[in-house]
Amino acid sequence: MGLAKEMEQRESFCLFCSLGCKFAVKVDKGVPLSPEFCPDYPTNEGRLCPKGLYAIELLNHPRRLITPRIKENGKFREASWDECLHSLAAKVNEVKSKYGSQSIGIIVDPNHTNEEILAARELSRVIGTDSFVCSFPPNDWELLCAGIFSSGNIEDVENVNCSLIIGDLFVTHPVLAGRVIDAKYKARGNNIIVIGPERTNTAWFANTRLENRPGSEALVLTGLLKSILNFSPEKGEDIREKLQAIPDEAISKATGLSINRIATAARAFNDAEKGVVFLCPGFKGMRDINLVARFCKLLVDNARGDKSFIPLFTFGNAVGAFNISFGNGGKKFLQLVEEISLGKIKLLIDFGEDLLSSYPSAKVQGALNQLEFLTISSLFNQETERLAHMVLPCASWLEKNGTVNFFDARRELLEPMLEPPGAAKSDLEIIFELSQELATPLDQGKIKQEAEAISREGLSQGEEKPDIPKLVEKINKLIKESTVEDKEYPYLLIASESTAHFTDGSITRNLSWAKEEFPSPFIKLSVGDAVEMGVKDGEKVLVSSRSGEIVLPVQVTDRLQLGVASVPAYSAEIRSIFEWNIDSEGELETSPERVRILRK
Amino acid sequence: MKRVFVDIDHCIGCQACSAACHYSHNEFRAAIGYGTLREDVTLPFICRHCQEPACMAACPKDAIKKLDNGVIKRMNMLCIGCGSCALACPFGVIEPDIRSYIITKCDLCTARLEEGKEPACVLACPSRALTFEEVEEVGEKQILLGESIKGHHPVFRRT
Repeated sequence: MGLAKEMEQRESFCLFCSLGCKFAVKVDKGVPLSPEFCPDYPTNEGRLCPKGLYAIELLNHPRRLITPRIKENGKFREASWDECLHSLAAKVNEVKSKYGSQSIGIIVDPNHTNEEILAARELSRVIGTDSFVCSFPPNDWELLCAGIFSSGNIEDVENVNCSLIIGDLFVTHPVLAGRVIDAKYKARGNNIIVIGPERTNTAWFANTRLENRPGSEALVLTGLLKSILNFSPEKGEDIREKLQAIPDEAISKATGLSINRIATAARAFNDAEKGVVFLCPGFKGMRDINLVARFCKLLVDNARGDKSFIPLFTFGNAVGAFNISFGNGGKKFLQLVEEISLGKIKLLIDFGEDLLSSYPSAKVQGALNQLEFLTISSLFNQETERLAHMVLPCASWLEKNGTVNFFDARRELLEPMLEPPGAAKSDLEIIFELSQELATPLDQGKIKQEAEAISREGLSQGEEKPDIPKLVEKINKLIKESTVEDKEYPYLLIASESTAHFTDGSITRNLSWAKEEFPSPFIKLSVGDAVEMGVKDGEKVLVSSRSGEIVLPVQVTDRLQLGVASVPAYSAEIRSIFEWNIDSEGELETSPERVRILRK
Repeated sequence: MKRVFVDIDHCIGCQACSAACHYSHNEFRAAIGYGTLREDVTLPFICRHCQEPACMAACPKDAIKKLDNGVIKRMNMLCIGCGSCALACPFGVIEPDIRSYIITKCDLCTARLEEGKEPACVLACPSRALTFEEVEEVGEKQILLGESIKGHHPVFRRT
C-alpha cells in the first residue's frame, strides 16, 4: 500500500478515434506503469478499446525518436535542435528567394491539437504560402465536407429502440458497443439494423442485416427513405416527388437487396419511438460518403419519432482540424500532391503524417522524390524517412498541452502525462522556434485565444437545405455506374478496419500488443470464390488492380458475398493496390477497388 | 467470493480485455487468451479460479497457490515452466507455451483488488460483456433473466 501512495495518476484523452475516451495512467517517478480507468467520465464510463489501452505504450516507448537528424550524403546523422531549425529556416529563405513563397508546403496530421494546427496555419501565412493542408483520410474528409455534425447524445444511445448502423461500428468505435447492445436487450422489439457488404462483428448483433453490394450504401438509404415516406404521407413534401422518380427495381438490382427487405427495415426504423443512425465509414469501400451522410440526415428528418444522427470520424481531432484548416477555404491534400508532382512545391514541412504509408501510390512517391527539401516530424521511424532530408522527433498528444474537438464538437483540454522522451519537442514548440528563426515570431496569445473560440456553438450544424435535385442526380449516376461490369477486373475489393490498428498503422505497428495479435496482412475471400479459384486457407493469391499488385495469403470466410474480397486497411503494402483518384468534385474516391485475383 | 464473468450475448470480440491484461501486467503476456468458435464468435478465456484447481494439483513445485480470498495465484519465482498446469486446466485458460517466470495465468489483478478496484479487463470491456460479481448472485440473476437474455447471440440462438 505504501507503494501505491507514491504513485500518481495522470489523465488524458485518447485520440485514436473521434469519440474522445478519457483514461489515466499510473506514473511512478516519471515511469508509466499501467492503465487506470475513469468511470466517472460520461462518454466512455472508463471503458477502453485496445487502441485506447495501448496509447499508454506511446509514453516511453523504446523506439520513440529522441534526437533530431539531418541527412548528409544519403545518411542520417544526429544534430542539435539549433542546427536543424537554423538550417531549415535558411532553406526556407533560400527556396523562397529562388522560387517564390508559394513553393513551400506545410502538411499537418489532424491528430494535432487545435493550437498546433492554428500555429502551422499562421506559419504558412508568415512564410506567405497558400499550401497549408491537413492530411485527412478520404473517409473523414468526405464526411466532414457534408457539414453535418452529431445531433445525438452518446449517453442517450442506451435508451433508443432502433439503431441503424452504417459501417463496422463495433470495430471502429468499440466503446459504443456496450450502449448499443444494451439498448437492444432492454425490451423486446428493439432493433439493430446494419448496412454493409461484409458480415462484420457489428452485423452479428443485427436483427436485420442489409448486406448490400459494396459501394451501394447511398442506394440502400434511398430505398429506406422512399419506404419511410410511404408510411407517413404527411412528411417530406419537398422530396417525395423527386424520390418517386427513382425506380424500386433499379435500387433492388444495384444493391442486391429485395425491396421487401429494405421496406421491413424501414418500418422497424420508422416505428421506433427513439432511434439513432450511426455512420462510421471505413477507409475504402463506401462510395460517395458525402451523399451517404446527406441521406442519413434526410432519413432522420423524415422519420417518425425522436431520431438522431451521429457521424463518427477516424481521427480524434478531425472536427477541430477541419474547422481550422478548411474553415477559411484551405487547400485539399491531393491538390498539394498534384502541385508537388508538377514541380510547383520545392520544400515541404510535414508534421506527423507518414505520407508513404498512408498514400503509398507511385504518384505520391514520385511527387515526394521531386522535392528539394523534405522535413518530417514523427514519433517513430517511418516510411517517408527514406525520402526526407531532416527528421525531427516530436511529442505524442499524451505529452502535450492543448485543446481538441471530438466528434460532437465537444472541446476537451489535453494535459501532459509525462515530459516528451529525450530531446523530442511538441510540434507547437517546433513551429514557434522555427518562426523565431525566420525572424517573424508568432503571437502565442492570439493562437490560444483562437483555439478557445472553437466550440460546439461556433460550428455550423449543417443547417443548409439539401439540394435535392442534385442528390437525385447523383443517385441516378450511382445506379447507372453500378450496372457496369468490369470483365478485366471482376472482383470488388473493400478495406476492413481492425480494433487494433489506427488508420495506416504507422504508429500502432510499433506497439507490442498490436504486433502480436494482428500480424501480417491477408486477403479474405468468400467460400464460393475460393472454391472456384481452387485456393485453400493460407494459400497465396496474386491480387492486381490498375495501380499495383501484391501477393497475399488467403483467409476463406463465409462472411463475404460472391465477387467481393476484403483486406485489412492498416497495412501500407496493401494500400499500394488502391488507386488514389480524385473524383469530379476534387475529392478522394472511397469507392471499392476493382481487382483481379489469380491463384499463385 | 467475486469472479469475472463473460456474458457472451454482449461480447463483440474486440480483444480489449486481452490488451488491458497485457498492459496492466506491464511487460508480461496477457493472461486472457482467445478462442474462436467458428468465425463468428470470439470468446475470452478467463481463469475460473476453481474451488479444487486441477492446475494446483498438477504442479510439481507447489508454485500455484490458493490465496485466502480464493484467488489461484502462480508464484513466479517457484515456477519451473514445466507446463503441467496448462495441460491439467480443464478450461484451457493457461497458455501452453509457458516461459519460466512469466505469468500467463489470471491473478484477478490482486494488487487492484487490494486497492478496492475491479480487475482491469472488467473496467476496460467496451461492450459490457465482462462483469465482476459474486458467484452466488450471478447464479440467481441468470435464473431471473435467463428467459430474456440467454440465447440472443446469433450463434447460440435457440430457434
